[in-house]
Amino acid sequence: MSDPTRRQILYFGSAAAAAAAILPGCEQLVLPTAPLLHHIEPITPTADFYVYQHSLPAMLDEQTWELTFSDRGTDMGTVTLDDLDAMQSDTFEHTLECIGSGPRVIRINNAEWTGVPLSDVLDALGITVDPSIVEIVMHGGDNYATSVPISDLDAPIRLVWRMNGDPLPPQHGAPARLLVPGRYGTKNVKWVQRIELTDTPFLGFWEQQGWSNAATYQTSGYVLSPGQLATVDFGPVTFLGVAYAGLSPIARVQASLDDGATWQDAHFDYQGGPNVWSIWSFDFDPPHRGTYTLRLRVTAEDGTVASKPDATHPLNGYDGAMQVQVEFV
Amino acid sequence: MRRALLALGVLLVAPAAWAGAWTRDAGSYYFKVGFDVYGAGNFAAAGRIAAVGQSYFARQLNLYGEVGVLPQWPVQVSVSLPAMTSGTLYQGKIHIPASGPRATVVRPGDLQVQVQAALSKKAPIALAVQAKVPLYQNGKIGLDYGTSYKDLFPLPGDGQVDLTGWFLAGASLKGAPLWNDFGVGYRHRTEWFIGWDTNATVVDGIPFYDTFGASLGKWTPMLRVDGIVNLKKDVYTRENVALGPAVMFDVHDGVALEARLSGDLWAHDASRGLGGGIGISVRR
Repeated sequence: MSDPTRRQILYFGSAAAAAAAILPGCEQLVLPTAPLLHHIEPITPTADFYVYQHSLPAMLDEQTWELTFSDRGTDMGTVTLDDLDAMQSDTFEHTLECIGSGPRVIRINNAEWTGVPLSDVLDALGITVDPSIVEIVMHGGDNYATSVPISDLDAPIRLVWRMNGDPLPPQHGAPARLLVPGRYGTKNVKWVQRIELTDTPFLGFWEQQGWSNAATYQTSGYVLSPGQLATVDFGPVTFLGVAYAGLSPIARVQASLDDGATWQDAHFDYQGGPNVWSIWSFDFDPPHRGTYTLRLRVTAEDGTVASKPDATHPLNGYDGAMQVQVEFV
Repeated sequence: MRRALLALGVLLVAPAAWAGAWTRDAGSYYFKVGFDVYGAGNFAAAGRIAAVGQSYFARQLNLYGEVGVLPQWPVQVSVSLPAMTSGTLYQGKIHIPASGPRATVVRPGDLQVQVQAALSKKAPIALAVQAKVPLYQNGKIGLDYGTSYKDLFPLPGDGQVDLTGWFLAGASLKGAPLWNDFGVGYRHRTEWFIGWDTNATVVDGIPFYDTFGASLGKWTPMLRVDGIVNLKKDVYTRENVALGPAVMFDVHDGVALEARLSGDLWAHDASRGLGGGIGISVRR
């Protein structure tokens, strides 16, 4: 990867490098103190669910909200919240992970959502998908737009309007949002206002900026407690975390405290299926005071393994398994 | 590569002072100590990858001086030395804990050296060449915090050498205290990275400024627009146009207090923010 020409330094550059090495400087990292967790709730309370959007949230009036459908530029109909309420809906768990989530900033949560498959709405409007259609473009009320392959209709993409038993709150996309199985949060449009069937590929907001267009969930593992660089009282501790691989359930979570020389199975406290995270725990009794590093290895049922702490490519989603350094005092 | 994505375009604090089109005669000088700040709601450390929810706040203590050096012809040397610059990146709300980490870096900034020669002894027209050399090593920022956390630290700057040529022209209105100072240049962004093994690429651009001012006794109010437009599309090199007022107030025999504000009217592949500064200067 490294290109020698890009590391070329002029004579005065060398002097600058020398100067930079001796000039004073300092760095400070303040990590908020996180209490030790005793367990992780499978369903994240709505107030704790991560929030991330490309701009200010849209504030839409549910009384006047309409979702418009179009097919290659021609309007095909609209639905209202009352129309959706009248449809046969179901409630299900679904985990969302931000494509920018990683060990530094963890954005992954699981909730119960209520909604209907988007294909049911198309059927109710009498819209049939022409074979020339390649993508579904989803537009949000915050002027955000992105697309997924038309085959995702069968995933199925769901239109949801309730979260954890309550109406969808504004910060999570009220009155309604989309959930796309197997794809990172970038594809799960909030404040959805328009669904467009298109015969030409569309590149969304984040995708134009280099983030993965497929946005397919990678197998990943997070340690949520104790946190990185935490100091804990000497004695037994239970490491807690989550693992997720999108469509594929998690098959195994392992932990190592000797830099990967040996691995031990973690315990599943909650084993979600497809589209739902798994919660793991690992008991550790340090033999003596000092600093220990826990490494994680996550295996999904589709055979993919996450075992290194860093992402392979930062714009494709986190495909690593966190490691944390904890000091026992 | 990852580091590059997270790093470039972070030195957003404007220079604390600028050499104008009026080139100094031998012995004439101007020195300034300034403190400047810049803040942006959206941190665009990664060029195009603007991260909403991550704000950036930078502070800079800057030493600036310009001296006329040749008795035969107006030639001046200008040096801008950010003695200390720091940036803080606040992450947005995360799962656990609810408030994000805060990473601060304090380092010397980019040394800028400019040599300027008048094209005419009478008219304020000049050519200048300027070099920007980083006095920090991006490759070392955050290393002590391990791989998972080093990327959290905003870098002091792009970490490479820039070479810029300027054409400067000034004019004043006869019989009125009004004047205008204009400059346009060509900035060659080299890939001579200092102490940083990166695959980042940068592109050349056209920097420009225009300052319109009035000399009203002790007060010199000014309005300045400046910016840079890149010659090619690039995910790393910042493009922007900023506008803002500035004022100089003479307190005693060449000693002046200075203040400025500047807001990004437009920015591409970078954050848009608001900056300002205060300083004290002495000139003769």
